[in-house]
Amino acid sequence: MTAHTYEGELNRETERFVRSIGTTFAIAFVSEVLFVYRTGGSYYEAMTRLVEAMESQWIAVRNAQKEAADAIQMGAWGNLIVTVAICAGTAFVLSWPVYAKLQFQTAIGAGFFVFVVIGILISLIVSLILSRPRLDFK
Amino acid sequence: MEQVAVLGLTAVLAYFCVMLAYRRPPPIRRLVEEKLLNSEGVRRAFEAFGVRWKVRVYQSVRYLTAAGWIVYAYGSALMTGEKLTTGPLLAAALIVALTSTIPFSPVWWFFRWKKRREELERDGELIAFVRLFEMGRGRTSLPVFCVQVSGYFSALRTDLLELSRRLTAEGQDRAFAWFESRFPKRHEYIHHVTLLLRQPQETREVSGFLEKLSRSHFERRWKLIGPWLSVMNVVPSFVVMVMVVMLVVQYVTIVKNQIS
Repeated sequence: MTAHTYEGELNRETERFVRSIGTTFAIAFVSEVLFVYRTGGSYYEAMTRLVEAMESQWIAVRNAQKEAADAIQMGAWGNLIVTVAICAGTAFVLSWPVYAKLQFQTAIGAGFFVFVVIGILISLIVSLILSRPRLDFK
Repeated sequence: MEQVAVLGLTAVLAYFCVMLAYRRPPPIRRLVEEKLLNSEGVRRAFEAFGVRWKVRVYQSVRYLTAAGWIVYAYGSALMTGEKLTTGPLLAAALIVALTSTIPFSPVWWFFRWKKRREELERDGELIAFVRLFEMGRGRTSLPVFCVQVSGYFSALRTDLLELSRRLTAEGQDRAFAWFESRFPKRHEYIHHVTLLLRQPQETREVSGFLEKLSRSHFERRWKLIGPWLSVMNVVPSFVVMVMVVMLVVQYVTIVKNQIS
């Protein structure tokens, strides 16, 4: 705190902190610390209450994530494994050159291939984002 | 011969463009201005979702992209001497349709998602503001407090400054009514917040209550996400099965044709 001699510098750093973390708790933390710093008073009570709020929200986030865990795992890696296994099996039965021609040189094969790749990418991205939720009310 | 024709067509087109630019007949100009560039519907959609884009620029980009694609496609078809098809016209219509702001279009969904995110951000800042208010309860008057802490909240800053101004200029009732109007109509706890701001000494632990409300909303949102996530993640695997069946059927038909 004492390193920041200038008001503007302090405000800039505060905004940078809030932007880089960007959660309700970050805003609450920064604003409370600054408020106590300016008006006087004890940090202790404010921080204790903040920690309690964060803890109960953390439990809520974990519970919510546990409920969607199966779907998330399926989207992240299950799709890829299923696709590779089924395509490899088909290629093994039909022999690779025949399979490659069917897959990439016919309209149906190419269309399905593009659709599957896009679908897997979307579900992979969404699942990876949802598998690391932020500690927030959003 | 073809080159002469193409050159002639281009010259005629250029002549029309120049003529339109210099001596644009008023009705067409008015039509273009009112219906295309300053479209009322687009302006209303922008206002409803709080988007700060210029309607004129947005509309110009939309229609110029579509027109540019038509000119490019037909121009290159003329240059190479191919047949003219309706494909480019359909593509241009698709561009205009996909970027329109009517309900349930992609752009509309995008705006809605963006607005929802902004609302959530404001809600978070509101919780932080209430926590702060409970900490400094009774130490300073409300207008001064609002100005003091407005710097900490980027999404609420202008609203807090305006609230402080209205509190001193118009009195509590109108100021708080205005502050409530700045939030969505069916907001869960803005009334609780204004109640706390009105009677700081009598209500206790509002911030804890707000946090509990927000938590239950968070859980409800996740429960809503669950089924959609499962569906979205099962679709690729399902499509792979269908794809393999189709490939095998195709293989069988090809082999059958060769045999017979």
